[in-house]
Amino acid sequence: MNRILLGFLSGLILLSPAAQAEERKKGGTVTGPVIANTLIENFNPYTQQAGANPARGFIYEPMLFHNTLQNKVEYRLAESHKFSDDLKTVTFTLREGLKWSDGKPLTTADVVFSHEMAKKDAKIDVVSLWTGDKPKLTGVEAIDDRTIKFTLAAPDSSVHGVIAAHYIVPKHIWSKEENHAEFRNKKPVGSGPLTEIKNFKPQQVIVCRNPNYWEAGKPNIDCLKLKQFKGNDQVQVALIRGEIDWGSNFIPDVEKTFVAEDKENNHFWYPAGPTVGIFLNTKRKPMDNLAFRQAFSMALNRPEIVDLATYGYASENPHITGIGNFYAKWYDDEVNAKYDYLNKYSPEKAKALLDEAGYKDTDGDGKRENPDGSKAKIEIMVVNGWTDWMQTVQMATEYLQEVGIDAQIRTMEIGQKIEKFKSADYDAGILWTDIGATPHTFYQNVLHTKGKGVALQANHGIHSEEMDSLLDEFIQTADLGRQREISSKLQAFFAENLMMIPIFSNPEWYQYSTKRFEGWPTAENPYVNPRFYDDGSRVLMINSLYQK
Amino acid sequence: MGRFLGSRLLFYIAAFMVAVTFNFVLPRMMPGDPFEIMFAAAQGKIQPEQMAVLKEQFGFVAGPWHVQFWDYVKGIFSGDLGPSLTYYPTPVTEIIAGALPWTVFLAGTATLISLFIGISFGIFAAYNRGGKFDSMVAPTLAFVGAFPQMVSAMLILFGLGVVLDWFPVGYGYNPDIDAGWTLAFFLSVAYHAALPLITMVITGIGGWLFLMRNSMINTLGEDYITMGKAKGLSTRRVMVNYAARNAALPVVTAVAMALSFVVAGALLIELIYNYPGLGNEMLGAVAGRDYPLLQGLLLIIVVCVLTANFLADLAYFWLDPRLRKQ
Repeated sequence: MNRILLGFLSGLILLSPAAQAEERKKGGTVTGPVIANTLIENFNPYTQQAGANPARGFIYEPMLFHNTLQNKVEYRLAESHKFSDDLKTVTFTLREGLKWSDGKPLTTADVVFSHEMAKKDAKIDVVSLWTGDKPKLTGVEAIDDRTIKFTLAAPDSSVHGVIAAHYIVPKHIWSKEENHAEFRNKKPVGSGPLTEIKNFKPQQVIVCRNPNYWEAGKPNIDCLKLKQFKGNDQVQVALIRGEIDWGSNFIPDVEKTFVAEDKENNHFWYPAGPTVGIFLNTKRKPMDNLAFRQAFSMALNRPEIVDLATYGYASENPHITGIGNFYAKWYDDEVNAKYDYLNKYSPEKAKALLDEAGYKDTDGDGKRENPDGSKAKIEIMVVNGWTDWMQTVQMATEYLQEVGIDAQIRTMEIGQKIEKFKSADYDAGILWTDIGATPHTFYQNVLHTKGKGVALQANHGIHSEEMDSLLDEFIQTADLGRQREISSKLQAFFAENLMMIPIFSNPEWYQYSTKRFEGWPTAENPYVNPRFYDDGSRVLMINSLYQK
Repeated sequence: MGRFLGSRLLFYIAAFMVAVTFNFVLPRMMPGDPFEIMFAAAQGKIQPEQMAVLKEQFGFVAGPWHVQFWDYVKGIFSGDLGPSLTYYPTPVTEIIAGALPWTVFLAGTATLISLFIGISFGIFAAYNRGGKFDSMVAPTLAFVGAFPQMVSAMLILFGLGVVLDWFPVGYGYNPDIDAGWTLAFFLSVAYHAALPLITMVITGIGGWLFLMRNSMINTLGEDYITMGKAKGLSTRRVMVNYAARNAALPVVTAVAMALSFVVAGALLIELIYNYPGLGNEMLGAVAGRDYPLLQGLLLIIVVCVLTANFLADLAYFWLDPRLRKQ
C-alpha cells in the first residue's frame, strides 16, 4: 500500500512541469572559497561572519528574501506574506509540513521563540528588529502552527524582508542553551538545504544535505566544501588549478588568467552591484558651489576609468542620479533626460562652467583659485591598497587637473577614512554605497538627516526636510506607484545637488567553472544575483547546482 | 650568584610589566575601531543600524580604558583572554592553541636546520678561508639571504608551487586527511611544510654562516690552535674541538634570540604560504582591530622572548666562568 502511494506521489511530482524541467543528476561535492585567516567551528546564525558562516542561508534558511535581479520576493520557508491595510501588521504563512533536519516539525512556535530571544537579548537581534534606537516590531503572535503575525512599531512596507532576515532556530535545541550569543552550535539542526557538518577543520568545512529538506529533490548536490583562503591571489591560484568550482573575488585580467585556461568551462559574470562614487564635502570650499560640483562631474571620463582602473569589469552608470543598473527598474526617463549631460565627459563644458562661476587662475600657477582668490585645492581620500579604487582616484585627479582643478590623491588606512567620513573632516573621498531591495536603501543612507554621523555616506552637508519625509513615506506605503513617484523625486534631488559624483557600479565578482557542475546563475540565465555573501541568494544558487 | 640571578629576575618581571602595558595600549592607538573595520570590510553588507548589535556583542571592548585594562590584566593571570572579535564567540586561547604548534613546528624546524647547516658551513669556510668553498658558496648564500624573505618566498611559491606544481601552495596538511598519529597525516604535514621550510632555510643559512665564520676566524688566530696543529692533531679535531667550541660563545646569544623569535618570526612566510600559524592570525588581528586576539598573540611573543633571554643568561652563566666569580 505504502509503495503504491509513494509511486503515485512521485508520479505526481514528475508530472508537474517544474520538476520535469529539473530532472537532474544527483550527488557530488561543490567546492567554494572563503576568505578568512582560519575557519571557526561556529554555526550560530546570529554571529557576524557573513560569507564565512555556512549557518546563514545554508543551514538556516530565511522565510523569504528579495531577489534583486528579478525584482521579486522569493518565498522560502514561508509560502506567502500579507500586510494589513494600515501596514501595522504583517502575517507570514509557513509552508506545509516543514521539518527540522532532525525530523521534528518546524512550526510558528520556533519562529516566536527565535524572535523572543532577540527581544530579550540585543546580541541576538542582528537586524535590530526589537532593540536599538528605533525598534521595528512591538509584538509577535502565532495564530496557528503555520500562521504568524507581527505587529509593527510604525507602518513599514519593507519590513517583511528584515523580519525574514532574522533566522529561525529550533526551539527544542536552543531553549536548552543559556547564553545564545555565545552558543557555538557545533552540531546544528537546521532548516536549509545543507545542514549536516561532515568534517570541520580550520582549513575547510564540509556541510551535506538536509535529510528532511522541504523542497522535494533539492538540493541536487550532496555536499558543499568551503575551503579557507587568505586573499584574492590565493583564490585565483585555486581557481586556475581547478580546486574550487566558483570564486567571488577580484582577479586581475580574468580573461587571460582564468578563462583562457579552459575556455569551455571557465566563465565569469560581473553584474552591476552598488554604485561607487566620490563624495564631496559641501561645507568646504570649493565643493560648496554647485557649479564646481557639476564641473567636477563633467570633467571625468567615466568610460575610460571603467576600462582602465577596473579592467572594464565595473559597469558604467548610465545616469547621474546615484543609482546604477542594479536598480534599472527604477530609472525615471524624465529626470534622466534633464540631468544626463552631467554624466558625460565634456572638459570644455566643465571649463566654461568653472570660468562662469568665477574659478579662475588668478596667480598664474596653472590651477584655478576660488572666486575670492584663495587656493582651491582638494584631496580625494582612498584606502591604501584598494588598488582598483586608487587607480580610479588617480585617473580622476588627472582629469580634474586637465580642467584646472588642483586635485590630489590622498591614501590612508580604512579606519582613518571612516573616521574622517563620519566627522565630515574631508574634502572628497571615494566610497561605496549600500544596496537593498529598493533604491530607498541607497537614498536613505545618502540623504536622510538621521544618517549623519552614522552612515558614512551622509555627512556631505546637503539635506532637506522634504527628502527626509519622502524617505519616511516611502517605507510607510505599500503603493508601488507612490514609491516610484518618491523614488523619482529622490533621483531628481540627488542629480540637482550632486553631493556625490557617481563613477561606476562596482561589479559583483563571480567566476565559475562548469567542469563538474552546472546550474550557475549566468548572464543568460540571471535567476539570482550571484552575491555569495547574500544569504538568500546563496540558497537559490546552491539548490540550482547539479553535477554534470 | 644568587644576587646575579635575583637582579636578572627582577629585570625580567619589570620588562614583562612594561611589555604587557604596551600590548594593551598599542593596538588601541591604531586609527579606527573593530566595529568600523567590520563595517567597512562588509562594504554595505551590514546596515548602519546593525552596528548597534555589533557594539552590543563586543561590548567588552567598548568600555572605559581602565576597566578594559583591569580585565586584561586579570585575564593574563587567570588564562582567560576573552573571546576574539573577528572570530566571535571563539575564545582567544583556542585560536592561539590551534595556531601555536604550527608556528613552533615550522619556525623551530627551519631555525634548527639552518642553524646546523649554517654553523657547519661557517666552521668549514673559516677553517679553509680563501678556499673555493669560502669564496663561492659563502657569498652565494649571503646573496640569497640578502633577498627580502617575502621575495624569495613568492619566487619559490610561484616556481615550485604554481608553475611546476610539485608542492601544495597552502595549508598545514591536506584537510581531506584526518589529523592523527597516522603515516598519511605526517607525510601530508611534511609535504605541506616543504616550501616554507625550503624558503626559511635557504634565506637563513647565510646569516649563521657568517656569524660562525667570523667568530671562528678570530679564534683561529689564537696560540692554542697553532699548538694543537703542532701536536699533530687531526684537522677535524682542531677545527671542531679547539676552534669551533670556543667560537661558539657569541653564537649562543644569537641562537637564544633566534629561538625567542621563532614564534613571531615566520609571519610573512605563513602569510604567503597560507600556513595556519600565529603570524597568519596576527595580520588578521591587526587588520580587524581584534584587540583581544592581538593582545593574546603579543603576550605569547613577549613570554617567549623573555624566557629565551633568561635561558641565554643562564647559559652564559654556565659557559663563562668569569660571571660565576663575581
